[in-house]
This record gives sequence, structure tokens and C-alpha cells, in this order.
Amino acid sequence: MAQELLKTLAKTAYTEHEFRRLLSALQVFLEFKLFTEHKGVSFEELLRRFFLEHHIAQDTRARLTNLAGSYLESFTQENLYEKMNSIEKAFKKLPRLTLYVPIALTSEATAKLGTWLREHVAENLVIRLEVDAELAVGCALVWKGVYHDYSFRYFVKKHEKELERTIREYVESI
Amino acid sequence: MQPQLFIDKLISLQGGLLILAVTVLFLFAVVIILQIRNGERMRNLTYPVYDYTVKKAEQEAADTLGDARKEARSVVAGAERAASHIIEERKQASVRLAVTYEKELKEIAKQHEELVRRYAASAEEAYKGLKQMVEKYVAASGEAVKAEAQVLADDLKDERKGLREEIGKRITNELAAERKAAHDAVDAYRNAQKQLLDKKLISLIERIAAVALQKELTVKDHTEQIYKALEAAKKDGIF
Repeated sequence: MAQELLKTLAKTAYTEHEFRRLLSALQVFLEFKLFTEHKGVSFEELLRRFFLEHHIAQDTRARLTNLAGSYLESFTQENLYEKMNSIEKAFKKLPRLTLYVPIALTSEATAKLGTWLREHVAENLVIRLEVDAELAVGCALVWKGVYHDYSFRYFVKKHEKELERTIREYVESI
Repeated sequence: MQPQLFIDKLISLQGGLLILAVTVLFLFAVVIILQIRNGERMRNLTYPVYDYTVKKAEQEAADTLGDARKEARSVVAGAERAASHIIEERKQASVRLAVTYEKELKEIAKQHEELVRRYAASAEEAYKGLKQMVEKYVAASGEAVKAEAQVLADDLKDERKGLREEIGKRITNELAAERKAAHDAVDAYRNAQKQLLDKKLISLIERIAAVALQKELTVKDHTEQIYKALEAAKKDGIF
């Protein structure tokens, strides 16, 4: 059940930060649903009431709305925290890739990158997204404990000899 | 007979008896005393012999002891006299010996002094002789020494010349080698500095370009560059 829920979460969340916010919002929503009186209220109406009472970020609201499914019905007052703990444990086991980028990316750009990484690196991959302005262009990443630099420095180093030659020629000509 | 008379008679008879008894007792006592005195006298009669013998023995013993003491004193006195005589003789012998030793020592010292004086005189004499001999030798061999010295000086001159040439040659070679090494070091330094300058220029260009790129590129451009970087990483086999 935890795996099924995580797969659903992974459809809209790509970074660790997005996952954490979504899981936190889900727990608060389930507490709202299970520990307050809402008899005969639809899921959409319940969400609306929840968003009225709680300050939830817009992107998280959208992801939470997409979670409507029968497996949410399996949560009860008795098993809520036990199930959330098992989801947390399963989430910790998902593969991580740390990605350093030069600027803060939009949700759309992050989603695109996440999709590409899950397609080419690992399914259910969780991205630890960090901003490092020193990179200038491109990115750097840590995969399986090893740091790889594919920033502007990487491209400069790749063409270092050509650059040196060009500079020397220029300096000698003046 | 009358009673009074009878009584008188009786009394006189009793008195007589009493007197008799007293007399008898008196006599008996006298006899005893006499007997005692006789015993004493008998003892006194035998004592002088004994006493005489003892006295005599004592006298003899005393005489013997006296003689012995006398003899002992005589012996001791003789021994003392003999000892005094011996001590006196030893004293005299010691004095004689000391005198003899002193005399002998004086004689030895005198001889030693004489010997030293003679040796000193002899040494002085020998030194004078040696000095004269050396002076004579030096005077005689002056010319030969001068000639030898000239030969040595000539040899030294030649050797010095050769050495000067050798050193000059070596210095020239070493200077050339040093000059070459210095040139090489300067070239190496120049090259290193050039390379360092190139690196610094590249770094400068890199930083300037980075700033310019970061400011000039849009989010879309950046995202595309990130894709390109990830593609490069995939191509490199990172994933």
C-alpha cells in the first residue's frame, strides 16, 4: 500500500522537498478527515474545507487534489500513524540523486528534469535539488556518492588547450 | 636424858650432819674443781710443744719468704739494671747511627751536587759544540741550499703556471655550465609563468563568462544547458 501511494505521489512530486511537503500535507489532511465530523461530504468538498482552514502551498494543493483514490479510504483513526510511518520508511529507501543547478528552477522545469532523470537514471528517483550560482551554466550532480561537475567549468576544461592556444596567440600578437 | 638435851643433842647432831654434808659437798666441789684444773693443766702441759712446732714452722716459713722476697728484689733490681743498661746502649747506638746517617747523607748530597754541576758543564759544552757544528754546516752548505731552492722555485713556478691554466679552464667551463643552467632556469620560469598566466587568463575569462552567462541566460536557456550537461554525463557513463 505504501509503495502504491508513493508511486502516485511520484507522478507529481520529483524533488525531496516536494515529497516532504506533500506527505506532511497528506497527514494533516487525513487527520482533518478522520478526526473531525464530515459525514456525507464528498472528497472535493472535504478538500475545499481543508484548504479553507489550512495554509497549503498552491503546487501542493494541486498534488493533493490528484491523490483522490480508494486507498485513502484505507486510512482509519487506528492505523493512520502506523501507515504514515511505513510510508516514511518506504520513501527513505527510494534512490536519491543530488542535482546542483545555477539558478532556482520552476516547478515545470523541475518536473521535466525529473521525468528525464526517471527515464534515464532510475525509476522513482527522488531529486535533492540545490542551487549553486558558482556553476554558472550546466549542472553538477552526486550519484552513488560521487560528485560529477558538468557546469561551465567542465566545458572550459574540456577545451582548455584550445583556449590556451588562442590566448597565447592573441597575447603574442599584441 | 632430858628432852631439851635430847633436842639439843639432836640439834647438835643435825648440825653436825649438816656441817658434814656441807663439808662433803665442799670437798666434792673442790675435787671437781681440782679435777677440772688438772685437766686444764694437762692440756696446758701438751700445748707448748705444739705451739713451739707451729711457731717454728711459721718462723721458718717467714724466713723462707723473707729470703725469697729478698732474692726476688735482688733479681728485679738486677733485671732493672740490665734493662737500663740495654736501653742506654740502644740510645747511644741510635745517636751513633743518626750521626752516621747524617754524615752519609751530607756526603751523598755533596756528591750529587758535584755530579749535577759536572753534567751541566758537560751539557753546556756539548751545546756549544753542536751550535758551532751547525753554524759550520750552514755556512758550508749555503750555496747548495740556494741552488736547491732555486730549482724548487722554478718547479713551483711551472706548477703554478699549469695550475693557473687548469683553474682558468675549469672556471671557464663551470661558468659556461652555470650560465646555461641559469638560462634554462630562466626559460623554465618563463614558461611556468606563461602557463600560470594562461591559467589565470582562462580562470578570468571563465569567471567573466560565468557572470555574463548567468545574467544573460533565461531560465529556459539554463534548463536546456542542464539537459545538455545531463546528456554529457550519460554519455560519460555516469548513470
